[in-house]
Amino acid sequence: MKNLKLLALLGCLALFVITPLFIHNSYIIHLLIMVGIYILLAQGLNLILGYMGLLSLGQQAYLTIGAYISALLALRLGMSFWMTLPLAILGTMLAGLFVGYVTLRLRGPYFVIVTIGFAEIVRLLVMNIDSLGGPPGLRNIPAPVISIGSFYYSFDNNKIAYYYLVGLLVILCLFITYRLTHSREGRAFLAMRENEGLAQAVGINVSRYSMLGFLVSVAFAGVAGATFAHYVGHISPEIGAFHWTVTMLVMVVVGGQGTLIGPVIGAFIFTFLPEWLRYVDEFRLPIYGLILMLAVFFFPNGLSPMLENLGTRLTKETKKPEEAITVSHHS
Amino acid sequence: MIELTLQYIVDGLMIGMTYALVGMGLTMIFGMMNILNMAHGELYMLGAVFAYYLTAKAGINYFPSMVISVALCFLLGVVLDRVLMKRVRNAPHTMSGALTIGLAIFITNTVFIIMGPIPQSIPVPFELKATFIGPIMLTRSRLFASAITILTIMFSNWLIRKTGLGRAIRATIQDRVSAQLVGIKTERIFAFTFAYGSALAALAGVMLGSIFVVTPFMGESMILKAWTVVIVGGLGNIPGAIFAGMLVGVTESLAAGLWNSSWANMVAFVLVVIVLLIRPQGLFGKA
Repeated sequence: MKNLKLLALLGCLALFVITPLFIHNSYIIHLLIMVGIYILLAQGLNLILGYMGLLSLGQQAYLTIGAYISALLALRLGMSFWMTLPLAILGTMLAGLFVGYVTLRLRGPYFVIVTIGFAEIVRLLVMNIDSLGGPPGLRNIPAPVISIGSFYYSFDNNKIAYYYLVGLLVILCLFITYRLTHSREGRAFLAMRENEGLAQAVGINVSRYSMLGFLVSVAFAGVAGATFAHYVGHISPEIGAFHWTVTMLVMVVVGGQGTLIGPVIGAFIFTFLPEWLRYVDEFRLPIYGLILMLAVFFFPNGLSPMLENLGTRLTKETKKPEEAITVSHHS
Repeated sequence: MIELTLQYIVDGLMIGMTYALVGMGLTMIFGMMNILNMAHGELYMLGAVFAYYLTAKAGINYFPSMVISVALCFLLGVVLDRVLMKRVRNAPHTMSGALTIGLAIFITNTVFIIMGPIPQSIPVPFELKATFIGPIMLTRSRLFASAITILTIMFSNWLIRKTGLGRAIRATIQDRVSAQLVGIKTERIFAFTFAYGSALAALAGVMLGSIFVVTPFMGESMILKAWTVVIVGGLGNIPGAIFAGMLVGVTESLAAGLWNSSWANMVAFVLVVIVLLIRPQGLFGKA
């Protein structure tokens, strides 16, 4: 089983590297870049929803903050993407710190309500403050440029470059999620999700760990926002709309919450599916609503446990005790 | 300036009373079933949409339309409770939240496909003539809405405080198992409470829909205010919700009038943050 997982991982990595060699359709590459951005967003939501049991319905706020900070710094101060990206992450995390400080000390429905409220405020701010672009938003956001000595490389109109950039960010994000959830912190998250009172009783500082998870989660959204802004070249207050979070939620719930691979599966399905069903685009949101409802009742664990079962069956191995423990954590 | 401020306060109270209606239902549902109901705003929207179709499309008189659309939402509430909510009572909030947000998206966008993007208005049988009380201007439709809302709040209070049904509701909110032990049919109480809360939201929808306009997205903008009312009033606290509704309405109206209407939507959020920082149990909750 371990070997199979390693093999699958290496296979995915190889596939990621060589895909642009045989896919020359720039539309497909564009969709793959969007898959990557959605993986960042969905994994961020998964970290708090799946691993910590906190529902955030305002992830679009951090997407917006990341996008606007990065775009404004690049446009107004002429800073390079490699500078604006970390600053965007920092700004996003400060916003997360505020929301977390207000809500994470408390139990009850406060977290979800404040996350929505904060997202609404962020949307109003970028909509109504003219120096932030107002309703038309920001245009001509410069593409990242690599320039070391005489070496100069621009990402402008270069989808392959973005493909690898987003891919690297996704790998980093998955690595961080893996490390975070397979460590002392990860065990604390699961303990909090399963029984918060008990977790507190055994000495887990619940508000500190919740804050840590939440900050990493919003940082992923900030990275997605900054990358998206430079990739597309223009952003508007539409990026703060609620349907972004709905899409993330569907990806996480259907893909499998509380698993590393679930949001990845979800991001692939719900980036490609709407493209194929484009002629019924007006039905996309009602269908997403229906999918969410059905998923909560009929497959609350999503698709990834099914995939894991398939993997187990393929190797025809009996579960070792350590495997059994991982599985029960994820259920 | 003082006259204007008075006018804003009165306007805010009128709107706030409808917030109180929506918040009352939501706080009852949360307090009793521990459901993170994000679809409550959609019942409010459906109340207005039903009233619009009954009056403007089917040509039915305004007053019976009002009763029919509220009754329809009551029935819908029973169905929703039986089919969906029953399964997520006392489930983790992530589950009831995901379910009801799915329901909300489904209802809103289905109505959007049917009704289209153009805001509609409910034809009201009132003259547009304004009545003046001192310097304060009141329109007939607003006066009517306020009267209905006050009566409904009083009726709900009587229902909850003085009747056997109300006693059963309060008992079930306090302790479900003990309520069951003394012979209360809690399943029926759950269904009734969910439906009654839905009907209150629908009534508020008809009222505000008659004063302003009807759109498929009016529920989305209401849900945040409704939860604000619930949190500020204290979770599950019905009198708290009534007061908090008025408070949100008045603050919003003052902010919009004296400051800037596009920022007025921030008021609800600022109130929640202040309450959570200072008195997380709500203004009237017990510590």
